[in-house]
Amino acid sequence: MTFKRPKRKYSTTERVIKFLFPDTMESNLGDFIEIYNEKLRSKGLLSAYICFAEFILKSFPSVFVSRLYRRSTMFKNYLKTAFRINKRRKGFSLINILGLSAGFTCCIFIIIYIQYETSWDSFHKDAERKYRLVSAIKKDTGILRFQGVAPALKVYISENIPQAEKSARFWTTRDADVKIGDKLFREKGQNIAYTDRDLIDIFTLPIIYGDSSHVLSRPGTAVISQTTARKYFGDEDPVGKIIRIDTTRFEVSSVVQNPRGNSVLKFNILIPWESNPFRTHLNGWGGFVQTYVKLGSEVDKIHFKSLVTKVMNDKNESAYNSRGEEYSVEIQSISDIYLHSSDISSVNQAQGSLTNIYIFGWIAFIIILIASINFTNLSTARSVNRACEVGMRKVAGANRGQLIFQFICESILTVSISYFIALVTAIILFSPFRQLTLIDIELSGLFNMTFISSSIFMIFFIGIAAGCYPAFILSSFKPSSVLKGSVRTGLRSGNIRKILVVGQFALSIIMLAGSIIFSQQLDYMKNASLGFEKERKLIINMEGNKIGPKNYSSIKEEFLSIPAVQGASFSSSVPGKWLYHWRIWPYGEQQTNTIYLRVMTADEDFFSLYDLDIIKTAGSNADMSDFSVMSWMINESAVKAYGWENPDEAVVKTLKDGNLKIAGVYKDFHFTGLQELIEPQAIGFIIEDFRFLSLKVSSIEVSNTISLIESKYKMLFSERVFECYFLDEDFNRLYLKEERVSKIFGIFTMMGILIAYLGLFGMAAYAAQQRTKEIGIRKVLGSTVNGIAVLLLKEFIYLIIISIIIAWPVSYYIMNIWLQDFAYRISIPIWSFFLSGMTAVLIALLSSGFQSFKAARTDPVNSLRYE
Amino acid sequence: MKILTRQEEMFLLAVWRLAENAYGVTIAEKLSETTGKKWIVGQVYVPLERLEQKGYLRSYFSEPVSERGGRSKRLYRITKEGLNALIEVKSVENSLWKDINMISLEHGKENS
Repeated sequence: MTFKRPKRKYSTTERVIKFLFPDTMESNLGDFIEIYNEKLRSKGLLSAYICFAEFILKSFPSVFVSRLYRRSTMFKNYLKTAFRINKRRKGFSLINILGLSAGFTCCIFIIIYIQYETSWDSFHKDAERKYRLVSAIKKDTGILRFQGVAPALKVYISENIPQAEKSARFWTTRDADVKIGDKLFREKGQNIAYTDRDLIDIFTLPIIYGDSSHVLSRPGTAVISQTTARKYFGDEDPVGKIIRIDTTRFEVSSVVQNPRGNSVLKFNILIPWESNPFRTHLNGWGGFVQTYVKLGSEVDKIHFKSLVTKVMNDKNESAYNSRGEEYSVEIQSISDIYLHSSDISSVNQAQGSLTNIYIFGWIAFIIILIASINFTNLSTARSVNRACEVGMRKVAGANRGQLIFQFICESILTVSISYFIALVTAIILFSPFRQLTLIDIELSGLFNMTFISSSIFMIFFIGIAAGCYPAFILSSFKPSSVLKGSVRTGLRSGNIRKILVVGQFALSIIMLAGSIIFSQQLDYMKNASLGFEKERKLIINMEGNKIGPKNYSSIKEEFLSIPAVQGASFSSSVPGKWLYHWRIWPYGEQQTNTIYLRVMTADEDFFSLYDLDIIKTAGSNADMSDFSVMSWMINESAVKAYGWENPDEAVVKTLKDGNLKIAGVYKDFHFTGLQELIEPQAIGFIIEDFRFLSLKVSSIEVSNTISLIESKYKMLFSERVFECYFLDEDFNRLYLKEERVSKIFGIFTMMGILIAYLGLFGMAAYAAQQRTKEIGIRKVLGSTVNGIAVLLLKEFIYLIIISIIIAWPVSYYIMNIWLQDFAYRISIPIWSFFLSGMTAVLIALLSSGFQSFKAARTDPVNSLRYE
Repeated sequence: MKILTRQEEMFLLAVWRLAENAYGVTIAEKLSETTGKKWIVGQVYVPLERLEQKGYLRSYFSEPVSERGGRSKRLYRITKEGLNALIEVKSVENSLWKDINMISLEHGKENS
């Protein structure tokens, strides 16, 4: 008797078995059901299920191996075909691989850059438990943040708050001369730090030589970095040697490894806090000193935060609350310091830019997109050449899935070859790249797991993404029509290809417009009028020299006696340097009208030397001569910040306790770069804290003048290091970061455009080749070479024009957002769009024009004879 | 001709022993019985297929069987090449084992 199976859909069991044994599903299923029923009868349902699971699981290995084996034979064939195709069409393959590897090279560099920028201070042991304390002062106008807290808090924390395992202050001082034996070195203030011993642990600084157990715990000792040790002592053993910082003696107790390049902590010399000469000023509950803590592993950081906030408010009772300000301590993860500190007022702090990371991320994405579109377009375009192969494979029994698999394999192969070339190029170009970006890593540090895995991901992702469209097109050919020779594939995929080309060009035009606008902004910042005269100013560093009311004018006279020196002025700061951040209020208004004023001191010649415009003075006399000590000049922004109507109202006021007279108001000028707004600022005529001497020098025989000034300096301050610079050069240093970004951006834009045009070049070549016969016939019928070239070019030019029309509004929108980052910015110049558009058209004409003319000039005899 | 592998030998012998009734289930059972190791039906298909490709086995379908859900059995039968291969592997084995008896092997095991 035969059993009639009702017609129905496959059950799950059937489907699984069909998946495992596609060819012999029927009989295998029969076997399985036989066993299943047997088990069900003898041992029950559960064991029958177990039997089923066992059946499936145990058959996997053998089935899998046999499949792999079958695939691999085909795979070998695919590889062989891929190599043959690439060999036969060298031009196309070259363009494909060249474009992709150029794109990958850019991408690899950007990945390295982003990886580096995001790696700052995340390499410390237990980095997730290490924090920086930040003071936040909330006012009605917003929140002001300062790096650091009152220095007494650290002492309180280490004595009373066990939740913090470690805590350390870090306070840098002013420039100093360091004397070793009879050798003299100048150290920047930011490289000499007073600190606590826990710093070594918080920043995981390995000690190389000397005492490692009592580092920084003995007053009068110093810890120096490895490079500094080499600089000071050469190959000698530095431990136990004496260094003299200005006048104080320190004994080198140990040498630590240099802080890593991607750490915000930078120093040459570390000195125990107890040896800090400013300690008495710095031990109170006011002020801001960088403080780092390491919390215990189980500590809730929110709790810790509220705890220290409470301590600070208790100790400082009236300081903030009475002014309507709310003080709190915020904690910032040590690995966030580099990228997330833009709203924290800080000095000499290495700071990264999240915007730049986003910008470069997008650039990498766009470049890869452009390169992949090239790849997709060229592969689709030349699909017609492979139509016969596809037809034959289909006739021989290949199904569509296999063909898609084949073409995707091919594209992954091409992508991997390109990636390999890109990797080699990146290794070759690594050192110029490092110079450009100032990234401080070795090549060997690059090949970490993240990099390798992201590379592999990228190869597969791009291989599949760029290869799937051509694969679908190719595998869709009908063998009957292909083999009859009537296939017209070139036209079928034309529209999508055109859209891709338009997208590609729109992207590269946006990049081009962006880089033009950005370099314009940079030019503007560098050349804008700053409100003071920065030319021909020689600044001499006077830190550490004793300058006071008694000697300052005689020192100035000494320098002025050099004929080329036309003016001289002492001040506590000069444009481009740091200013004090003081809380100052008009007399009698402390509660209601306190603002943070940027403050410096200067002598009476400062205004005339820098050509600053004075709007209003208190006396009738505008020449400063009757300014008494302690009288202050404030800028217009300060007038506005205090809420005074006009300068006239300001000059009758006094500040603070009534002893700071406002002597006048001067016009706003840019003390810092144009990235920042002009802040309320004051210059006090106080003969104190003079760190810089500004000299106005004539522009002829500059080097001679400098040597005269140097010898004068040596005469006045024997045994001091002479250090000078020109203000205009130094001021441009403020734009170094932007300059670097602009340069990198420019290079990547070039690459993007180059890749896009490489693709266009290939497409033009292909189009010309497809139309060989048409061109021949046109020529026979009397077309001119020019006429045919224009005919061929027209197609590409109108694509470019469409992409220009798309690109302009988009780039306007994007650049508008970007420029918001700058306090003082250009209005977007319209000509930059025209320039970018014209450049695009021009390069397109060049790249496709060459191909078109070549095609137009072929002799019709040759082109028509080819059949 | 290549000498059969041990697995091939096992499979061919199982099919030969089962004569007219050699299909997935019975072959797996016979193998479990003769080797003492448990064989699952799912494991035998691929080796059987490969033997068929090499020409040692031939397969045909039986009439549909009701207790199998109306499906036919895929029955295997050994071919002439298969038999030749078995004969050859046996003679190789014989010459390999010539003059060696189990007692001396057991003795060697104790000494080593």
